[in-house]
Amino acid sequence: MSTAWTIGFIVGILVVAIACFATMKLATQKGKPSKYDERQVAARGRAFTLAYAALGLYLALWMILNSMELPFFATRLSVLVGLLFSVVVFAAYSIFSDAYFRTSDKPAYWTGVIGAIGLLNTGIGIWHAVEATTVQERWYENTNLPVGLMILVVFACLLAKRAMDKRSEAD
Amino acid sequence: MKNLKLKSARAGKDLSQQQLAEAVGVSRQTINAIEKGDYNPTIKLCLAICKALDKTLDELFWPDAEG
Repeated sequence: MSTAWTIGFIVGILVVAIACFATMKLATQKGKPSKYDERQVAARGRAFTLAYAALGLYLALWMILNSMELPFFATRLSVLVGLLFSVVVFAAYSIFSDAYFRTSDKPAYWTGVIGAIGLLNTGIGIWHAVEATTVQERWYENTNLPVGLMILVVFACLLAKRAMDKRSEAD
Repeated sequence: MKNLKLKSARAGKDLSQQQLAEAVGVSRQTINAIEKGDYNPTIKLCLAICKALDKTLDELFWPDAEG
């Protein structure tokens, strides 16, 4: 590793740390306790149980498909997809149970941030796929695309929940 | 089972769900869930709500004889 790479790595870590700190400051409402209430904690517990079961089911399916020697299921990415699937299950259940955001969070701000990160990762993933010269190596080892798509699915759930809430308020 | 007594007591104090939620330290959706009967609060939350609305546990959370 060169000196330039090391410096770039350290600067990158610092930039991410500063961005996270600034986001936490901007994305919470002052004076409100930063916590999940008891109903949300119970709902998130159920979400975790569902996600764990989803991951178990995926891994069972993965073992079958891996034994059939299908190319995709021989890659590390195929295991990552299972983890991402369980994260989506957790997030979706939490979102539709009104247990995704804490009482102090600004939902609109976080929804925007999540959408932006999803688009960024998906864009990078598509760019990698287009640039790929070998399908086996690049497509199957490109983690940005499934991560970006997972985040966009969570983003879609957040938008759907906002639409449902607005409709119920109108009623 | 819907908690109409809680809804009525909140309206009597001229409080919105959001205002009551902030007073007891929970989300608005939790107050909504309690009023709709979708969530049974812990005794700790029940007591906090009673204190915020100046009511007793019986007045807000004890089911009616007919129910």
